[in-house]
Amino acid sequence: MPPQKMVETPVQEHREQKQGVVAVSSGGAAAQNNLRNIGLIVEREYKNRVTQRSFIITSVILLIFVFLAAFIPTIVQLIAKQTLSQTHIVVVNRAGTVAGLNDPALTAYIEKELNGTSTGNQAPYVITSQAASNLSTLQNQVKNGQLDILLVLDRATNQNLHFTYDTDASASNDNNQSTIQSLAQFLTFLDTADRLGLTGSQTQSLAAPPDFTALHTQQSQDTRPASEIAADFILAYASAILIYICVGLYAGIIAAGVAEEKSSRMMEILVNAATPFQLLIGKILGIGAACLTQMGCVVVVGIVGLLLQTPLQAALFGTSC
Amino acid sequence: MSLQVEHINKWFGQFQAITDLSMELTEGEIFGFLGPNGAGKTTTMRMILDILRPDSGSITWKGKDVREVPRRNWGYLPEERGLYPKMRVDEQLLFLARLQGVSKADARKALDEWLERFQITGNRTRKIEELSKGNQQKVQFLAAILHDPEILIMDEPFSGLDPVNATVLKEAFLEMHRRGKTIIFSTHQLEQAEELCQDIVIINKGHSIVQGSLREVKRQQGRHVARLKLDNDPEASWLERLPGIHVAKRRQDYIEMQLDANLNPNLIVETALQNGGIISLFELTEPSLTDIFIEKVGATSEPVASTSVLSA
Repeated sequence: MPPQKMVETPVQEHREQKQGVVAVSSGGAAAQNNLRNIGLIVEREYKNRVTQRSFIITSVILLIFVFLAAFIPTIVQLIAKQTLSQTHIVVVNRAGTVAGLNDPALTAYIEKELNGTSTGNQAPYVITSQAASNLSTLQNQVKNGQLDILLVLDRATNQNLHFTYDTDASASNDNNQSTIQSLAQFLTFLDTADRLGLTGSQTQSLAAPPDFTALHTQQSQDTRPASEIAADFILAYASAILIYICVGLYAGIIAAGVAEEKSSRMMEILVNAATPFQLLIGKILGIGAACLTQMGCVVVVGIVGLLLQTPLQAALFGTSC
Repeated sequence: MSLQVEHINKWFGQFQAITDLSMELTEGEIFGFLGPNGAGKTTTMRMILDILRPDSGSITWKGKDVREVPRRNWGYLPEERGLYPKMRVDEQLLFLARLQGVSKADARKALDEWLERFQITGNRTRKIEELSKGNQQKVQFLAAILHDPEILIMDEPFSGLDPVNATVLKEAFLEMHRRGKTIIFSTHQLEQAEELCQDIVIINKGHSIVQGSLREVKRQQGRHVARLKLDNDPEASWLERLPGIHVAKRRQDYIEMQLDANLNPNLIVETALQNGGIISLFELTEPSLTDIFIEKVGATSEPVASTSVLSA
């Protein structure tokens, strides 16, 4: 029979390992040094956390992210500016004189109505008129995306104006139709008035807006451009998401920090020197302070980034948008 | 007696880790706490430190319940590493010492002294995780003593140390002993326990098997150990036939045997000479702690087959 050797069962070892979780007290002097011990633990936790490589890397990534996020308003405005680049409209008039206006006058009128006081590159629309003979070519250009809008004016048998609006934009993505439609409506009105033989002043009084006074008790009219409002909206949402992520992340870091000593025999050393209360408070304050430092850096970098926007926008757009 | 452990019991669920354990220590002594793995040494140490509390029985230091003893009086070296791995050596030790109420200046002074003594001054600013196991153990030792505690409780302090580092740590033990500290330590390196301890206790499965002064424990064995070397007859097979003699070890340099208490050792010498042997070594000594440990622990382990695993 082979010799038999007695080997300790792992059961006892295992049970001994488990018992480490039952730390019960730390008495005497430790309890009397509450503030001192908490201060020491806070100092250690703070220093330990902010010098950790993972913390530094996370902070750098976060700061870069926030710095770039601060540029969102400018980026959005830049994109908006590029998106709202001048829309080319070609007017083909087959209706003859419209509201007493010949072709050049009609083109000038449309340009004035659509662009207002904006001129040159700042004007949102570029209006040109072409002869009816070029119609098929122009239609092809619209189809190929070479021309934004083709507006054809015809006259029906009852002499009423008929407008054909041709664009390469899809119905859901067409921002110009309502503008052109309003223009068409007003041209129809003027043309009808002209055909009815009304004088200019009569037409003007017909078209005069109602004498309407609006009184708002709360003066909160936002006069900023839509792109700036959208940019601010995005920035606010990004900040809210960032704060949400940070709160979750920091809570996790504190929880992991509190459990740090439990995973090693460090707790057995520490409960001999400090009370559980001191350890917990020190941990929360220390790690919390480290997290707030990170957040503070993020806020400072964010503010610096935002402050840079004004000179940047001035450089990009010429004026502060 | 300064530390008194009286009839303590500790249960973990259905498992009784400590059964009616009692022991006594005198202030300023080095006390060896011996036993196989899972015997309950760490549990007992934790109860002495008031990290765990016994289900029954009492533990007192100088007549005061250990719960009321200021924590600064205790120094503890756990078996597994209890250090922050990413913290610098000096920062960690200063932190722990200051947490124990030592002023920064005093802690720094003590730190300088001990780092010098342990010859790890060069590792002062290194992180714990960057140190060798031996140096980590030295730092762990310093964490236990830097606040100048009265009682040192050390769980396997020599575990994993090479002979050089073990000697350094042993010297530190003796230095603490010279300073009047009471030291309780557990170890599997029984030669060290034999060398350092005045009193010992051997426990197994939560029971105390042997305790008392080292000399008394050895004397209680009622036997002697003899070592014999014959130049012209290294086997000395005739030893097996002598009554009252049990050959324990056959080594290259000598044969070790256990003698019954009433056996006259001269019999061995006489028989050797009668057989024409040339004696180059004959030594009469007491049984080693290792012999006592194996005998006592082996004897208590064998009957309880249910908690053991038989392996070929």
